[in-house]
Amino acid sequence: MKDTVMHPEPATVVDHQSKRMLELIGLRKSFGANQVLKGVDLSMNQGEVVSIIGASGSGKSTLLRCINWLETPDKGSTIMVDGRQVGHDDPARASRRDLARRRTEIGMVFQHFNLFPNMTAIENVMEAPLAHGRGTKPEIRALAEELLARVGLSERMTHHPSQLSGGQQQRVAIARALAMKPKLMLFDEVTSALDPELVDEVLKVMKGLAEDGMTMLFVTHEMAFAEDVSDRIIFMADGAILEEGPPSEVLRKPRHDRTRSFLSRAMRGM
Amino acid sequence: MDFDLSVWMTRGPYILRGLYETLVLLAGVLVISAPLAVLTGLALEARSRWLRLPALGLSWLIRGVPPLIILFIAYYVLPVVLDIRMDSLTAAVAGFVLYNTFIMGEVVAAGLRSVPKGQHEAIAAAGLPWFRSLRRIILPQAMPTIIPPYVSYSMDMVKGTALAGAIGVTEMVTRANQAIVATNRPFEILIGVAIIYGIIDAFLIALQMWSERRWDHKGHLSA
Ligand SMILES: Nc1ncnc2c1ncn2[C@@H]1O[C@H](COP(=O)(O)OP(=O)(O)OP(=O)(O)O)[C@@H](O)[C@H]1O
Ligand SMILES: [Mg+2]
Repeated sequence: MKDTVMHPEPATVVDHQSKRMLELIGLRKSFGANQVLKGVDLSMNQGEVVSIIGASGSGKSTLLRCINWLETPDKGSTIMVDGRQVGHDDPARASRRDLARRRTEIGMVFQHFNLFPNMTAIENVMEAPLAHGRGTKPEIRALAEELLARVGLSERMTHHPSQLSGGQQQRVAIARALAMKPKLMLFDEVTSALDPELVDEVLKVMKGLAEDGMTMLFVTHEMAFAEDVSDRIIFMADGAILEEGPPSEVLRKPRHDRTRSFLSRAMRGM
Repeated sequence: MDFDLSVWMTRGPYILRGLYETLVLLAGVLVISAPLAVLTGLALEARSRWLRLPALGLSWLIRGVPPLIILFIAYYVLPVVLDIRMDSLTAAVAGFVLYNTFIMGEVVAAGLRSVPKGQHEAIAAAGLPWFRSLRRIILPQAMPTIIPPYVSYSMDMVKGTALAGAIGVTEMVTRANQAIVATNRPFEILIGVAIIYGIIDAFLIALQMWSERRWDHKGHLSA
């Protein structure tokens, strides 16, 4: 991906019509005495693509996992998706049933795919819509077939995860997350566990999603890809957002030394 | 020493009738304890300590007591506590069910623990309902871990049925013992009984092989 073209203009187009899809206000998260997120504020409009970069341990995964409450945020943190709060300011008062429902609006794709190994590709995709009663079985099957076709796996629908390559598994995982028609998609280093030759097929699917207008927030070490598809890049350090802006600024003209030194390591060979 | 299998002509039917008790015990215990063991395993792995701690305590207690004592309790104490009459076979089933539920409960708990954390996260992230996911995703993946020790404990159970003789269940070994006393042909009778146990064990091994195939999620056999 060395030949990525630079955007002549910042990719962010301020669109006043756009809906706020995600809003984080004062998001904090501690593991015991270790405060991992130190008050993160972030908002994303519908259709926006944002990448999070930063050193290992800076809290990128934790940030993503707090959005759908895989990690319970600290008291006082606010997470809004599509204008409505996910969970509760006071975690003790978050209802499980409500969380389960809100989570269907947030698709998540994991580094290690986490497909259900006892189900075929299409069963993996169908499981959530079936469980949530999103239509009849034939309807849901048709949807799953369409999604698997979209990620290029029409020929592999009845394969089990163990019969698929890492890249294919990750594409099934993307289709599975899309099956609930989420408003927001979260991707946590989804190509890090893949053999290098399998990375591009997954990135291609993600780029397609971005072009189709999906609101996407991802953590990545693929700087060229981040530059190519992101409207905005966020650099995290020590549990806080240190710098954010269009790729042309954050990646090419970083303002902070820490961003610069991170990038000089991460973009080596780009 | 002469070897005279003709004792099996005269005493065989009597001894084999004990197979009924042995099989009722085995089947009753395996069928009844299986769902109870799943509940126990879930309680042992529960997030709520109000479920987990009592389950841990009971498991520790029951597994620590010799099965024979549990049989005695089931036979002598349980009817009094519950104020019911119980024949010795029912008491034996109850006693073994209690014991096995916790032995197998630990096996189920180990199986649940063997399911990678990522599976729970994928379930949570998709907002999937707990019970449905348990049935369709978690337990099927726990099965390969559960089956081998489950079958091995079941084999112990087959042999353990002989203990029920102590509370008056005339199962096969008890009858064999009576036949030995009557005929003074221990060698022939014991060999025959051992073979019958071997056949039951072979059946359990076949069951294990079948279920390992059934729950193989590599997708090679089950696809
Ligand atoms: N479940 C947990 N319990 C305790 N500490 C945790 C837990 N999860 C994360 N942490 C800590 O939180 C900090 C941030 O972790 P996080 O995984 O969010 O970092 P990251 O930016 O995603 O790093 P990487 O690039 O290595 O994935 C680390 O110091 C980590 O040790
Ligand atoms: Mg991470």
